[in-house]
Amino acid sequence: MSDLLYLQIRNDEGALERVLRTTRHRGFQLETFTVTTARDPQFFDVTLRVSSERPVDFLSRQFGKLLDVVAVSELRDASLARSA
Amino acid sequence: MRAADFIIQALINEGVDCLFGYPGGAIMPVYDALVGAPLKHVLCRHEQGAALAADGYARASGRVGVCLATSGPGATNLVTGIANAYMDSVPVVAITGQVAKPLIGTDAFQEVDVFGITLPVVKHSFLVRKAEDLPRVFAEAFRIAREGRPGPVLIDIPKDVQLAEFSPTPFLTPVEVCEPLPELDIERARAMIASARQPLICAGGGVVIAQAVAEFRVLAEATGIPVVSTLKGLGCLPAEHPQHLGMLGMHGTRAANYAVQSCDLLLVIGARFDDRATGKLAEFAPHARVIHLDADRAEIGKLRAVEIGISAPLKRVLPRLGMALDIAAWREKCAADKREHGFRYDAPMPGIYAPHFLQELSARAAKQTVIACDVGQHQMWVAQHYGFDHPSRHLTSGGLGTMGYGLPAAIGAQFAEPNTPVILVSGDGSFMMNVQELGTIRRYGLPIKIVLFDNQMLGMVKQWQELFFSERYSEVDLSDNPDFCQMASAFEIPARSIALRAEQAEAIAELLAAPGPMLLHVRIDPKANVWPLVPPGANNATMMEGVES
Repeated sequence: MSDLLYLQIRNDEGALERVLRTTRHRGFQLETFTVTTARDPQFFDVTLRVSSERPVDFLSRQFGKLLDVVAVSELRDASLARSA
Repeated sequence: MRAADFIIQALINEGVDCLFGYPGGAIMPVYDALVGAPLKHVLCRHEQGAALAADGYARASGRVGVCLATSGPGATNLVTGIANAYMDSVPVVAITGQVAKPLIGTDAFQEVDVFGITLPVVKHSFLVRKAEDLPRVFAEAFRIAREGRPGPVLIDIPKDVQLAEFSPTPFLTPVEVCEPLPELDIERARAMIASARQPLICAGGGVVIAQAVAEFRVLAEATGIPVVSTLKGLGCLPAEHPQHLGMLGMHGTRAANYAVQSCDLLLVIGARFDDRATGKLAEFAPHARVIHLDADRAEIGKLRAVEIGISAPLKRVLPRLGMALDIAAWREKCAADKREHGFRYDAPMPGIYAPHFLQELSARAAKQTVIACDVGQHQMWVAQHYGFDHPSRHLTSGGLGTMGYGLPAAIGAQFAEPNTPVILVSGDGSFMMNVQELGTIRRYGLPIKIVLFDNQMLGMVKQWQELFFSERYSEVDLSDNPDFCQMASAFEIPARSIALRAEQAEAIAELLAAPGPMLLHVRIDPKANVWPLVPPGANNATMMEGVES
């Protein structure tokens, strides 16, 4: 069972590292990781597909604590999932 | 102005009156700016000592603790202290010098990626690449460190940035938003509390972090609900309060653990279901519906499913939950358990029984005394047998369990409260981990009292090897300890050694009356263990008990 998460993060020093280490440390396997520069260059759009025995909510709440992370969404739309 | 001068000014503007550090190459401009500044710098003897002293200062004072170190080994030596603050949600700002920007990434002398190293143990971190960013970074760092669930923040500053000249310019600061309380959840919580027959409150360190001890006590007394505490929640209710059942968990009291296992509603306030507190999680509070109040939304439901989770300031929520309850039978059952299973201090031995020593120390020390402790058996004995009146009086490394915490934490607390008695309770293993900080006590003439329990063992590890590894003792013997009294004397700290219970009362009196620092070396039985003990993997009702001979 894998889940898709979308994050908007500030383009700050170490922001992507924080997302990646949080994913690993909290017990999630990273399946895909896509980073695009948002229209505003101060931000990144990040899409992750992750799998774990833990519920994805466990991870998204931890992302929510990162100060670089502006928004977190769990994507449930099948078409979005296929395109990731 | 020179950036290094701005850094000192920024600290003063943030209300910092004291910081703990150790100089070195990459932080020299900041140390240069310190000369003549109206700011107390405490020179510790190791950067780990500086970081842990900042932690102790923050816990005792409720203000942000600040530590300062150079790049490379100076920075890496801070890491344990930063992690300690992270695990226990302590507001600390750690400032490190870094090699000059052109050298970053070249493996320069004393270059280490401390920003990367500390990512897992900070609430947030900054690498300042432009002096113009310093005003915003310092303001954000202090705000982040103290707001919500507090924690450590790292500011890494390259040396050329420290030396740069710049003109500080105003920057935007976020407006504090007072979010509305979750009224629906509060109403549901009130209904759940009102309908409970056997409710129980579990108090954690979050109560004191939220500066909500007074509101907590009003709630507990209004409802009459019995209270158990985590290690860091001890003192939320005074130890002798009739509703207080003691600490829960691995070394908790029988009354506390029995109450948790039989309650039908558990109101968890500022605690996070740590494994040392819950025992076997699947069997923790098996009959209870749970209401969880915590500043950190991510903690709610993390380990234990809850019926209601409220993430809002405790000072505002707790007053909304008070009500009179008709739970006399349940209160009496809890009180009866407390009476029946109270600790005994009449071990029939001529030697010193650490629990009895601590009980007597607790009875005779001034109420406002700060007790710092290290990690191991003595730490659990302090939790069990020292009666805390307020959680800010108990400095203990709860989450990380850092041996060597106590001495620097006591130093930090003494700087936070120069007129308050500070006692360090340590063990012979932990004490040697940061023993160099005796030099800091000497340098500043701090009147810290040290109780050093010496069983010539790594006692807690020995206890586990005895109980769970078939008495196969591996590397726990410390019978070659130095002469601790001589060691204290080398730092001009008066010292005395005792080994008999008959000496205890007079030695405690001498310790408490000493005008300056003093070390009391207390020899104890290496066979003494901490009881009760919930074995790993068992539920909290499964408490092992030993008999001291």
